[in-house]
Amino acid sequence: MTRSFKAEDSILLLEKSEDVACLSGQSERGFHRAQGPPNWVPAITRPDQTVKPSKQHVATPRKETRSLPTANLALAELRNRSGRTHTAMSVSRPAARRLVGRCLSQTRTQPPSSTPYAAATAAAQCLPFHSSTSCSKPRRSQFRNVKASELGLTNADTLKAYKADKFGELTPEELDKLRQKYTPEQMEALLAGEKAVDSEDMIFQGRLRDDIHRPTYIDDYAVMDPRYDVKPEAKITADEPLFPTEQEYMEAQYKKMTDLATKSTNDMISRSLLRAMRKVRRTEVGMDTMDLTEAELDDMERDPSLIERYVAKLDEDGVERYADDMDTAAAKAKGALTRGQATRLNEEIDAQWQKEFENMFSEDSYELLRPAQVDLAKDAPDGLIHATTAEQPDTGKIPGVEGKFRSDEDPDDPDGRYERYKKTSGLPVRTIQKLYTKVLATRNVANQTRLGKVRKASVIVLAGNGHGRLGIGMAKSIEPSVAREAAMGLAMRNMRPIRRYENRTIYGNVTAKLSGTVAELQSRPPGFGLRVPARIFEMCRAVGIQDLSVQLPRSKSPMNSVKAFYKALLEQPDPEEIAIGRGKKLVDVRKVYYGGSTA
Amino acid sequence: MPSVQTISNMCSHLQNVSKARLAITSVPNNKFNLNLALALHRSGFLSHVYRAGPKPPTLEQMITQEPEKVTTANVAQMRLWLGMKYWDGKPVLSQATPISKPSRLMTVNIAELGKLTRGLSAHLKGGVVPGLNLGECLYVATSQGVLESREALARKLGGLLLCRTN
Repeated sequence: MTRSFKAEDSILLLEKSEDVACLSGQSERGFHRAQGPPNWVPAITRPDQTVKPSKQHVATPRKETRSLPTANLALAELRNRSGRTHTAMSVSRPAARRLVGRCLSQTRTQPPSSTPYAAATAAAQCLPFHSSTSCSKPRRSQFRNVKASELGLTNADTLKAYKADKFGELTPEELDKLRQKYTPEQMEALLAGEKAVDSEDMIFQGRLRDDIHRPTYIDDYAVMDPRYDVKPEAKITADEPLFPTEQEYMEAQYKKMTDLATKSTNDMISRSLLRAMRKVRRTEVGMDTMDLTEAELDDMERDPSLIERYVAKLDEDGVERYADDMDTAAAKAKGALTRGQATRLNEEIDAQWQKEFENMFSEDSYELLRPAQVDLAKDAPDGLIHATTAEQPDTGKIPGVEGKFRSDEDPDDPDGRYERYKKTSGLPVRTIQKLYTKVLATRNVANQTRLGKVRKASVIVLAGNGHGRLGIGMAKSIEPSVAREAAMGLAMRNMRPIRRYENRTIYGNVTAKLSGTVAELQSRPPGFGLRVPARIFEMCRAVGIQDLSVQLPRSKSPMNSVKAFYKALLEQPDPEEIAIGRGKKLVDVRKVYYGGSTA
Repeated sequence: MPSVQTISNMCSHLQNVSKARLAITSVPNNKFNLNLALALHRSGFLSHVYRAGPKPPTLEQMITQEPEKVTTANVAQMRLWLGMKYWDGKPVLSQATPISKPSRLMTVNIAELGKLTRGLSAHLKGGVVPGLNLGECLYVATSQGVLESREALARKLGGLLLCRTN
């Protein structure tokens, strides 16, 4: 133990600066004031009035004199104070001062008061319940409030110019532009709006933003913006369950199958047509007249719905136009066929198509009529996701309640290993996994019954987060591992905050007694380390204490030493509490003298 | 010098009173008790100190009325009425331990008092006095009255060690 460390480490409760001043100043004056008559007014506050000094005054030469303006100010303050009602806190201060002996009286820096009320108020003022210094004046803004009129913003000319600039009449060109953009109805509404709102009101009641933080967009509020808009509360209602009768079910199923069959038949017919077209294209006639490529035909065969995209539609009146009917330039531009060419092409295609049909139905090919697998999969509840898998499709979520329930399983703890600790400690699994736990002591205990001894293992376990939280748990069980697990859970549940001075040692010196064990703890300076018994070392490590000295002068029983140390940690004195209790200002001298450096 | 035995008695009494959670108590009226009570009041351990007769004064009385004049007729009746403080369910003054006793008066000089106040133990003529712990106060009877150790240090005064409170 060195001298310097003690000086650094001790926290002194300093008097309020006012009290310190009192103590170091002259002490005679208060005594005489106390002895004077009740309406005694000291000469320093009333220099204009001649007051005959009493005997004591003559006996003690007064050193201090005060200038007139200060005294006047003080007098005014005094009057203000005496007008107020006094508070009940620290009530007997004035009375006590009257009792004060010669040596103990205090010289106050403020002018002496003529009434006990004023002194009571002054006494109440120097005993605040908080530890920080109170602010004497109400806080004012750092910046002077500049009015618009001072800036010249309310001048008639300025206003007029501003109005013309920002809210001027719409010019005919601007109106034209607006008409191009908006429908006549919208224009009407716009103009009505312009007319309805006075531009004066826009200037004085509205706010036209030109600051740098103004929004850079013009919003029609058609789209929700999560930055500004409150999310509307979605009203989700579960769908009414539909329980069809057997008849209805059969009908729905029949309709579904018929639709699928129709679709597949249509597709098949389309495919056969396409095959016919492909064959025609390979002939001489097709080469000249058809502009569909092989690739396009392949695409269409794969997905017959593409036909609509590739094949030109008929004109609006339903009549196909041929080059013969149109003038030649237009025909060339369109690449249209002559009537003769078209007829030949159609004939060719029809002939090929006929053959395809014959092929198709010549053999018994149900395969062609069967609905495609894709169509069936689409119909399944999960949709196309399961089209390529072999597993049974899911029955699906119930619409309306989907996503509203969370599964019981914790993603951090799929095995449910920490389930028990989660329940006992109320902490998330990740926090539990980070906790430092250790078995501190184990002993075998036995319960003597008439059937014999029932032996059990009693285990004490610590849990700490390394940053000021520590818990100990104790459990007994026939199986030591079970006892350990239970004690661990209890330790986590019992974790309590431990106050640490500068996050490295304890506050002051603490002694705690538990049964025959006494734990004496001493706070130590930075870098001292842990000079403590082994179990207590583990506890210090778990709670994050680096500098400490502990003695166990009496019994060193494992269980009780752990418990006594834990008790001592919880019984540390709290400087803040002490300061509040005594109504004193508290200063950590270490932080004052070493420039706030606590390293 | 009055006997320091009165200080010991007062310490024991204050400890008992704080354990019983009483709001007001009285100690015999003598100079030593008065000076110590005022020093405790300055440190914030007591809420008020008032000299009155055998009946406890009311709060209003203590605020507004001046204490009764002590005369030879009533001096034997007078007692010091002390207001006890409690915060957060705990007494503000929970321990008061006398240091000197009539058969062993322990005095400190300024250097030793400085050591004690900084938390170091001091070897005095009467024995070893452990240093102050966090929140502890030590009261010294000096030539300028009973002072708390920090007050005494500020005035550079040593004296007779009376008691320590916590």
